[in-house]
Amino acid sequence: MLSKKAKRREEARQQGLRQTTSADTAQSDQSHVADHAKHPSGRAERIRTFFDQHYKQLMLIPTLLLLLAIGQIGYQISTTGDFVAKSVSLKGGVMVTVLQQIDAQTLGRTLGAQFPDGGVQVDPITGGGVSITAAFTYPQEVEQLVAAVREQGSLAEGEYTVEIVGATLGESFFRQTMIALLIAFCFISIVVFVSFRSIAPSLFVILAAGSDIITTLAIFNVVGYELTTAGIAAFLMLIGYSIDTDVLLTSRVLRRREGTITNATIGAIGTGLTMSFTTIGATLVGLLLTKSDVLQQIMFIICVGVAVDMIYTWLYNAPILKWYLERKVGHG
Amino acid sequence: MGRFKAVFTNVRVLVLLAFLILALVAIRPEPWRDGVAIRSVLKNSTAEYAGIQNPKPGASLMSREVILAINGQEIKTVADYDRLTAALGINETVLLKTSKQTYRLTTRPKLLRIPLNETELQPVEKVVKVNRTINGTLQEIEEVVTEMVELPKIRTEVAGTESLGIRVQPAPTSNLRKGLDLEGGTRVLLSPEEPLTAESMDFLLENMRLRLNNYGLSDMVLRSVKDLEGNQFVLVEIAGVTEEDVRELLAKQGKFEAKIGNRTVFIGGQDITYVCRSAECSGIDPQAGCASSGDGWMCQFRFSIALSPGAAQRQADITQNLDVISENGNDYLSEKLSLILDNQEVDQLSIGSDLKGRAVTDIAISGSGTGQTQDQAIFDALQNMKKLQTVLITGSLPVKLNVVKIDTLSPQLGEEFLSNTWFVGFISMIVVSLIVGFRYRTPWISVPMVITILSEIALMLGFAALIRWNLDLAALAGIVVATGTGIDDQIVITDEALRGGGEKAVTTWKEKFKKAFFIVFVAYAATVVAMLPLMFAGAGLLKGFAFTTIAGITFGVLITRPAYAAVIERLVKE
Repeated sequence: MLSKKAKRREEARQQGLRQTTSADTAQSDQSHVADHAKHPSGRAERIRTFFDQHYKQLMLIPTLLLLLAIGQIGYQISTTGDFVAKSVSLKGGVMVTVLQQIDAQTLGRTLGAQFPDGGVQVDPITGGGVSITAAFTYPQEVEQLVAAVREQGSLAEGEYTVEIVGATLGESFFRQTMIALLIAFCFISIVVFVSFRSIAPSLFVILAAGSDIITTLAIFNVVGYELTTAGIAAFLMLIGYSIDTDVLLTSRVLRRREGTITNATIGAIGTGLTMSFTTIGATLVGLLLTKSDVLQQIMFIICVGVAVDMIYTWLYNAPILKWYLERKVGHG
Repeated sequence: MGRFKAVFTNVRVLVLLAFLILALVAIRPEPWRDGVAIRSVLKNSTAEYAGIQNPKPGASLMSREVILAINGQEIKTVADYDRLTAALGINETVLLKTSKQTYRLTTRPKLLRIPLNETELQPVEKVVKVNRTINGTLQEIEEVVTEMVELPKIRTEVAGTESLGIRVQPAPTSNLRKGLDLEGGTRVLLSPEEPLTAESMDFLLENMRLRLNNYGLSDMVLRSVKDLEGNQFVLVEIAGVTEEDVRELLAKQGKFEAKIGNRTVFIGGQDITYVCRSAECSGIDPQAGCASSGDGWMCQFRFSIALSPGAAQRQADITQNLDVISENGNDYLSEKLSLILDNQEVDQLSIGSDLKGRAVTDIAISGSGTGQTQDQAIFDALQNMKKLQTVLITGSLPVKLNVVKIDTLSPQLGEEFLSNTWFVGFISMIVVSLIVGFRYRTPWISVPMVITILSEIALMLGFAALIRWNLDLAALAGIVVATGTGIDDQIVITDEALRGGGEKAVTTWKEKFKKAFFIVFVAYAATVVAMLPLMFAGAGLLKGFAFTTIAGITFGVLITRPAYAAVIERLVKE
């Protein structure tokens, strides 16, 4: 993910930074005049001016969003005891998947009556079908559940899928994939620090990525999804996608050729938004059309994550980077 | 035209083309292929006798033997095969033509042994001790006596033709292997109760593989897995089998030992080398048969097993000093053999007196069943026999295995997921092309981009085919994700080329490439390392995802994206 990008815009040396910032000071005094001369396009001009004047206020939006997200997760922990709802693959239980037309509600009522203590849940699948989950794992109970489902749906053998996960195994999966997520986050942070060799900009990138993950998780909870092992893998990939846009922005700004920070930022928006939109487009299609719950969860997390990332990259990372660089110029 | 020449003579583009050709060769797509492929051949079947072999597990899918015709009639689908084989008569000669050669088979009748309600007196030979006067002295000798014993009448019926013994599947249309959630089958994750040494684990796997082979299952994945916390697992994936079959074969694992008194005679693992399940050496005991006792019936069964010489000797040593007692006219030793499964005694067997002190490796195990009627008694006896056989067969493992995860994946669902995924992928490609087209407004960019994306996917699939990797849904997700990063990188490359202008972009790129190579490599390696924990976490079930992502990114960074950069530079120059 940082491959070609880093190759292309990687001159983030301290030297480069100092040289261009002195040029920047001179520029920003005459920014209005210079901008008009260089970039006569009306819309770009308006965006540039807006950003120049209001960039600090822009940061309010992502800050608010982050607070809301943290609030949601706090609420989730206090009401359910965990920061995310876990599916069968992470807490144990049985899941039966049927792709034929069955009414989820009637099935839910019938099974609920038959297994009052089993925590039976029946959810419909887009495009036809149902997903039945229950908390027990003993072979006899599972057999009874499967027999009941088969009867209700007039299913022959081979027309449904059954997945059973022992509770201990599920918990161990959860622990390990969480650890994998943390390790990945640490490694990518190291790479960012090494690439930019400058603490503050690297920190902004990592904060933006972290906020993105937290916010996506909050939205995930609000929608009511249950996390699966595939979902955790999707969060891992999201860190990468999220950092892509932040690194693009940071490297374009730190080693800008055009002049002002604002110009470099606006220039990067075109590339960044195209990247985000292609990913959102592809994952949205997947989200709406796929019948597999594994793929659906992955698509949802990446789609929402990249959409939210746009807010954190352009309304948080861009302004704070500009703020930091201009203050730095002022002091040194 | 000059542009095209510049593109196709560029090294990076040529490298990409070379790899694409390799990928195509590895995949060998033949979507028009008909026929059925041989999945496995049952032991002692008509097919095996005719010389038809099991496919080798390491062989590529497209090299599997395909059945083309039976007795001159073409076979295109599995339904054709089933129909033609069902119509075969007994003792018929069948000419089976495959992609390798033509085989000659002779069908056999399917025999059913039905125990009837009646019994009949049958002469049976027994060895008894009698007192006889020989040469004036009273001696105890062994004599062979013929007795008439009541045995259930067994009618042997011919119930049609025995199946040829070949499990078939639709002939593969490419070398791409489908994972279990796309093909259907059963996946079981077993956890040993005690940690096993590498040697014990190997033995365990060998044992399980042998047992599954005996049931005619050879097309399977059986391996040991370790997760991040160091836990050991055994993963079994068998395509096309039901959960019940697998549970019966695997779920009833047992830590098995047999003791006389306090001393262990044999333990599971090495001591029992063979358990008979066929009609010649197992079934209702012809020497004891059935008898009415009180208000019900009791029937005896027996089957033979083979012990290792070490176990036989141990048994001889222990039984040397036991007394002989008489029961129901039979002589047994004073102590019984306790069969202990999972530290619980499951059965006790009387030891025939002829085993006292003798290291015999071929042993007959007998027991009984009871019932209100003779039928029930026979049925009960055979059930008990089956249970005991299973204990001795499956219990011949050194350690107990717990089933921690079992998935029964429907082949129908798998097919639907696959076609659904193709459809989703196709629509996604269209959406991405539209967005890219909208942004750059020139086919000189959008077309190469789309071609590059497709090339990346082709390379990943080719790689998967080459290393015989099973593509499951998680692996497909990995391909999608790696492709996504590819699109992002190409957008960045394109923007760089457009901004800097043709000439400048080339030189600047080359310079930056050299300067930044260190950082690039670190970044790429960090991503790979970040994916690595996923290869092991959760008993390696996300391995497919992590692996295809790493492979995809690697191909992208080394081959497809440099090629794309070369293409764009040349096309944009004009």
